[in-house]
Amino acid sequence: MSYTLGSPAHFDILVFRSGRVAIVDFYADWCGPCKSLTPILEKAINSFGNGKVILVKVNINEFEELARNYNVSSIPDIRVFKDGEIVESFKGFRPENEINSLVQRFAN
Amino acid sequence: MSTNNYNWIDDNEPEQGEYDFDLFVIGGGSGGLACSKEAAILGKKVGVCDFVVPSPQGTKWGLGGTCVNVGCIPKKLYHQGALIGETLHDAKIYGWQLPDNIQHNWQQLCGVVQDHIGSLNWAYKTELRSKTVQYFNSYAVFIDAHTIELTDIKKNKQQIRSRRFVIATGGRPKYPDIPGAREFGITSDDIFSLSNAPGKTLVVGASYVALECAGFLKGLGFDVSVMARSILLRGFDQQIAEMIGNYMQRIGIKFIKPAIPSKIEKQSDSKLVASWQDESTKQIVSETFDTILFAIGRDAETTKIGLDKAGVQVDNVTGKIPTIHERTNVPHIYAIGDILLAKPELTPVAIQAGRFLARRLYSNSRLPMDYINVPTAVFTPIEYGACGYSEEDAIKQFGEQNIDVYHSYYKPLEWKVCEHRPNNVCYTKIIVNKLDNQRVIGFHLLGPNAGEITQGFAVAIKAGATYEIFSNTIGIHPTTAEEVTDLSVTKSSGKSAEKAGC
Repeated sequence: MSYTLGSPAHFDILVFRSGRVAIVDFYADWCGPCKSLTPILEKAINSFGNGKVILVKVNINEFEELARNYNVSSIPDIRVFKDGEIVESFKGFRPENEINSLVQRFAN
Repeated sequence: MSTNNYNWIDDNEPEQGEYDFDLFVIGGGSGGLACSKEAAILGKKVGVCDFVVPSPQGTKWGLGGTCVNVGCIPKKLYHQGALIGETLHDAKIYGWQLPDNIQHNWQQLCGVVQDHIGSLNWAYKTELRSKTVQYFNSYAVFIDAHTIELTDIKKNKQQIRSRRFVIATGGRPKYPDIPGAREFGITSDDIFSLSNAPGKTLVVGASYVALECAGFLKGLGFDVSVMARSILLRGFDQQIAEMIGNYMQRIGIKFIKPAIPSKIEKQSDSKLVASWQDESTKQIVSETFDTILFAIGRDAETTKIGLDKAGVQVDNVTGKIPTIHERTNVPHIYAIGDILLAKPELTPVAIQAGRFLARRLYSNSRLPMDYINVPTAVFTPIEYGACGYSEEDAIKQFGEQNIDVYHSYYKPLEWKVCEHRPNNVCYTKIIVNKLDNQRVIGFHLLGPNAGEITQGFAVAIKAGATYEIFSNTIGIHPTTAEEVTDLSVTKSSGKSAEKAGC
């Protein structure tokens, strides 16, 4: 499942209390690479997520304080949360095969 | 004023204790951001506020000031869009089998430009945070000489006390005082983010903003007219200004001059009607346009920020702030950027002034800002780069008999194979002071890439290069810049400045 963050409280529920691995996608409307990466993430979650991995899309202009708390500067900035901790992260575009393996790894 | 008898310590007030900040900068544009970051790097507690009052058409933007949002950056990208259109005309000659009648998509270009601006707004915010400058998205008004009141978008207010202030509030486009101007006209505040293509456009004004906007709109395929009250590019070299006007006419921009609009109305089909008095017949004439863009000058943002409460003097005529080494009449209140009286309104000038000021205040630096020989470029369809005196200013300053003007027309090699590219539109001249070893005191170049070319020559002028040094410098071939090192014909010799061939 892919979620677009609707409120800061929503973040806490999805990332820390859903019992899923949450891939957080910090993005902005003006960011070209984000526009390319987000659909790849969504497709990977649908195909390989297995109900165990979710995508949480966070618009950094809408949720500036949240982005600031996580020290987001350049984007896309991807953080993988498992059991309340960030276990993996990267910045910038990644190709489809890499994203697919990432999701597959956390779905098992 | 020389730096010898200038008092670098602004007053005897206590440095610490009762203030929230060491330095508070009002305005987050080119100057304000550069100054605040530099002061923070030097260890001071710095705050900056920035607030964009929406344009009459409702346009707003983020942190970064005029240059980033509604000035240099979008202007250059739109200009580039137009230049690419020009190159498409050359392409067939160079062998590219492009289809005829290639159209331009306004939304695509607008989207790309606005996305880039968004990334800059974010980058500036991040940078302030990383340099520990506290940022307020609020409008500042002085309550007294050491206190400002900040109001944010939700109308929340807070008061800030600071040991020193830098005013860097910049300017906004003027509207003429005629019916319909504010309701129906747009300015440079709006053009770069228009959601729909502007269509048939009237640009009112003769400033570089007017001519640059008219230029890229024409290049992108729109029907463009320019209405000017008198001369073009006042303050710039007038020989070059006239050549720019001629080139713009040649590419199909219609000039309505001398004229000023008397009113703007909107028709039921949403088209706009501009009316003006025709110079020759003295009759009132009208024409319909889709868009009317006013570029008749900019007002300094000094009227609503409570300068009277702080005791800061403002020039009556221009609304700008007189300064000496960027200090206003109030010793601990400084000003930089477009609001300064009698200083060039350019981003690099504001940035350097801001940085040098922070260093003079907070380190051992005593280096004043140098406003002489600031190079500049105008990105009209034929570009113009300049550094130093215009020809008329050089004549006024030194006397016509004491200067020489070396000049030449030229045609870029890349144009020579393209029949449609005109002759005798590219031109360069340097002005030398005969009383000072033929020192180069003015540089002017009209042609493609003028901005890029002028930058290097500005260094030569700053270093005091003479005509001999210019002329002994070997040219790079084949370029257009090498024309400058080849200059040998003077205006006074009466010989032709046109070139024969390679």
